[in-house]
Amino acid sequence: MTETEAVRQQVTLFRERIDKLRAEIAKSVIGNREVVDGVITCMLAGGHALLEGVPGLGKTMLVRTLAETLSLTFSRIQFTPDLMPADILGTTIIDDSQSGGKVFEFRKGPVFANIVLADEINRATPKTQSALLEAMQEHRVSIGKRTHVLDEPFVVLATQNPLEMEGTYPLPEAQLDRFFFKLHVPFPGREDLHQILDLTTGSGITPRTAVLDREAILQMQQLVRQVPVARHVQDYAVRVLQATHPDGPDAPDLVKRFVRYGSSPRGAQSVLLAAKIKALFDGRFAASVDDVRSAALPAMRHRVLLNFEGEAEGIKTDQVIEQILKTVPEGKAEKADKTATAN
Amino acid sequence: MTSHEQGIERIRRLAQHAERRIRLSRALRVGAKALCVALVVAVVDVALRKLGAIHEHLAIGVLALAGAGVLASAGVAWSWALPARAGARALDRFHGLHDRLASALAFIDRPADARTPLMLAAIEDAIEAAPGARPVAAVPIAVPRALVAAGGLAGVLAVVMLFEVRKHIPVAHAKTIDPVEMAPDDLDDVKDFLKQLQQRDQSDDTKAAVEEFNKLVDDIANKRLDRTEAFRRMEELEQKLLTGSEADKKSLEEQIGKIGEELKKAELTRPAGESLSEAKLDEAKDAMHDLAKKLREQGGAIDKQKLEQMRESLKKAAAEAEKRQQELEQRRQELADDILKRKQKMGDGGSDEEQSLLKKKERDLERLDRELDQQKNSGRQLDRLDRELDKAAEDLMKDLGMTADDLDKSAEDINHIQQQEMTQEQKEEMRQKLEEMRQLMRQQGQGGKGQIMRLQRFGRMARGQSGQGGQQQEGQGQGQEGQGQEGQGQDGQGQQGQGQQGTNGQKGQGQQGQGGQQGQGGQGGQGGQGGQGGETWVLGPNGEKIIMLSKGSGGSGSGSQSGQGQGGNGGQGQGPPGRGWGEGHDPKVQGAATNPKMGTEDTQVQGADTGQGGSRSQVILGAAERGFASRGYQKVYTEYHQVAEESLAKDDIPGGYRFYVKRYFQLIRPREE
Repeated sequence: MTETEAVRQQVTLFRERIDKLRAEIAKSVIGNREVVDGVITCMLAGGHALLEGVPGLGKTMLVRTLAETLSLTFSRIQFTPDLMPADILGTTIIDDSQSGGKVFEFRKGPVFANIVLADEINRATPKTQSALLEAMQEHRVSIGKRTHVLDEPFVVLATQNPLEMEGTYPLPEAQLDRFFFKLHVPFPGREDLHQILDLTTGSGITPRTAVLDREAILQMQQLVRQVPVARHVQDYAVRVLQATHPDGPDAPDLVKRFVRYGSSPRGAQSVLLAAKIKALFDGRFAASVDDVRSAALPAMRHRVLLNFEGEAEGIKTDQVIEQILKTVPEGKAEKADKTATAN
Repeated sequence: MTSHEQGIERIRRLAQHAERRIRLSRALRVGAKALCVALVVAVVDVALRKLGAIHEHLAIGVLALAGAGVLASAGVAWSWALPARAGARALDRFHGLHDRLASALAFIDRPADARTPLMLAAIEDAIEAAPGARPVAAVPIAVPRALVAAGGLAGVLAVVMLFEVRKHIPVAHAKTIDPVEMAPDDLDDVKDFLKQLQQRDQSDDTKAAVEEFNKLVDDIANKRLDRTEAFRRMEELEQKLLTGSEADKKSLEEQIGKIGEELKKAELTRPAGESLSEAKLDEAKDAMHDLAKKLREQGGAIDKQKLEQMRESLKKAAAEAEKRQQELEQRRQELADDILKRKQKMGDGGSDEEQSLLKKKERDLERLDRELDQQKNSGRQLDRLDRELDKAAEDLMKDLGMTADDLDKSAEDINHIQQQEMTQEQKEEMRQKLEEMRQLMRQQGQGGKGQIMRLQRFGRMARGQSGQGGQQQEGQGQGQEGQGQEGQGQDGQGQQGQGQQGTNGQKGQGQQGQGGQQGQGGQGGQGGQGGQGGETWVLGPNGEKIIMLSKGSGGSGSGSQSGQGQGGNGGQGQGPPGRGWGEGHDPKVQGAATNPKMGTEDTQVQGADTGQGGSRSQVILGAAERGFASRGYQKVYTEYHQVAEESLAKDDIPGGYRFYVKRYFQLIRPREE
């Protein structure tokens, strides 16, 4: 078997696993295909997702279902104002040792899981929120003089309610940037609602089985990293990123007028990784411009900061990014030559 | 070549094909826009060339540049760099290949050892997808929109090229005038008058004057004259009728008188001579005919001495005019020589006395020139008479019959001169007609028909009639014109010619006294039937006619009032002037002699009145409408008031009405401006 054939098989297997996972999740989560794909993408990219939606749309259900179908450890943290960092990370206690003496023993917090549900993350204080920073970025936790490495895959799936702003602490930009995707959970359609009601108000309980284990997920994560990206595709991702900045070369008027600060390079990283995963979802071997375009919205919407005028005008970052995707050309002649030489 | 390599090659070809189509499409698009610009330039270029604004070589050069510009633009558009993998991406986009071809080409261009298994898989995937790609469909070459505009511009260019530039020739627009208008009835009246005049008198002068008058009337009728020009022509015609006639007539009469004096010296020609001396040309003609008859019938029975005496008289009479003319010319020449000498002597300087004397002599010279001209004018009329008299004198030596014929001819010449004299009266009639025309034009001048209507209404109201009877006949029963008798002087020392003034609105026409110490005034004309209202003309203090608005209830006037004329200045009235002027001076006038060393002398020069001003009725109407403050009204008021005062003084106004007359004039007195 040649390498190419082996890769082809890997890609095929990847696609089959994803399809299975989607099908299993769909047993409990009706609709929301894009949100489900987004959560899976975050998991495969090794990133974290921020789910935003009004209460009752199945955010927690989605995360719980994902955890159950993946045979991964799952923990849920309900963020409240009195939640302390130790409540998340864990704490050191004095315990009796087998020799009869007293020893300090570290009790792991809920963050030590493969999938962590940070429910209503914006209700905790910034101090508590920041306790997740290291875990999310470095996949490890430092307590005292000891550092604890988190098991891979480590995915934080946070939720927040956009309506109840009283008594909440909006996430700081630094923490927002740690999230791979920000996913909007939409209100289900009529047909989806029928299905939800049928599913949840009946007597039967649909059992969920684990379709992917930890090893499979790690393999899939490795495959994702191997997906090649042509220079012109990557160039497009870069130009989209630059266009989110008011002083960027291709920035449209909307950006120049309403954006205070554009996306960080983490945005482009997220876009490109998501594009690769999207290509694999489709059974392709390389990411395309269309993949970049489809990943731009969830990967950048929380990384673009509006100025006061934009906030006052009620501008949404989704509008800004959509405008950027419309205006930024796929290729430019003057850059084509450079890319040709680079290639 | 393996199938893998063939596949890669196919992808390359497909991508290149697509790129070529992209370039072609772009070149067409840019070329079409450039073509539009070039066509605009060409249109302007051709238009400028057609107008001759630029040279032909320059025009061709611009056209060539425009064409080259189109090709260059298209070429640049073709060769301009395309975005990376533009052809392959166009194929991917059109066929929904998700950048398979473009990515494959990007991976192919990498070094072989840098290609990952996934890259190879991507290349193979692209090779599998390539056969379905169609560059023609993926990159359609659409007709550029600008090409439609270019077609339109090409049409414009064709039209411009077809146009022939026509040189603008400015059309000379005739200057329009504001023609003076006269009622057709008035013009017909004038024409009838001229026709009658021409039938009555066939003399050359009359013919010429009538012809000129007719021309003036025709021009007015055909609206070829504006107001100014019409008045100028009338003034010119009037001047022609006036100038020369008076002086020429006097000169003629003087010369005839001298011929008569010569003829009186011979017994046979004495009756004719006496008649000529007294300016009785009719009698002189008859006397000549009688003499001719006598010579034919009696022939040799007449004393030779008488015949010789008559011959001498005839010869002297014939030579008299020439002699006088020669004397005048001699005097003129002497005077001119004297002036020339003085001027040469004085140079640029000279005392005031010498300057004054020189000016006096120059004035004398001018006077002699005028006198000579008059002499020549009258000489032309007497020329035939002189020749006939001279011939008669010569024929007397040969044959009495021939002399008789010559005398008959002389009589006819006298008759002809008499005829010429009569034309002066015709001229005066023409002048009066001119004055009437002038009045009509004045009234029509500024307000036209509306003005006339208002004037008529004003006239009616002034007469106490209601303004509704606009069509009523006015001034029924025109008074007949009185004819003044000619004043006769007695001994050449006349001071005052006396004219007559008609009453009740009749025109009394006095004549100038002729040399009489107390010229007998002309008799006032018989007054006609008084009109029942209307405008009545009376004589003003300077001999001008003044309109009087009165009810005109008078009957026939007696016209017996004595006129008072100024000696030498013509009598009051409209009649032809008296013959000659007063000579000598009033013995009662014994003022101090003029001091030649007096200083400067003030001289007043009066402007010529062209008669274009408003008529009196217009002035009065204007005063009634706008207030009694205009300068013209002051003049009219003064004239009218003077006449009224005279009438009051002469008891023409009943005592009971005097208060009203005075009160009336007080009310309409001129106010301060």
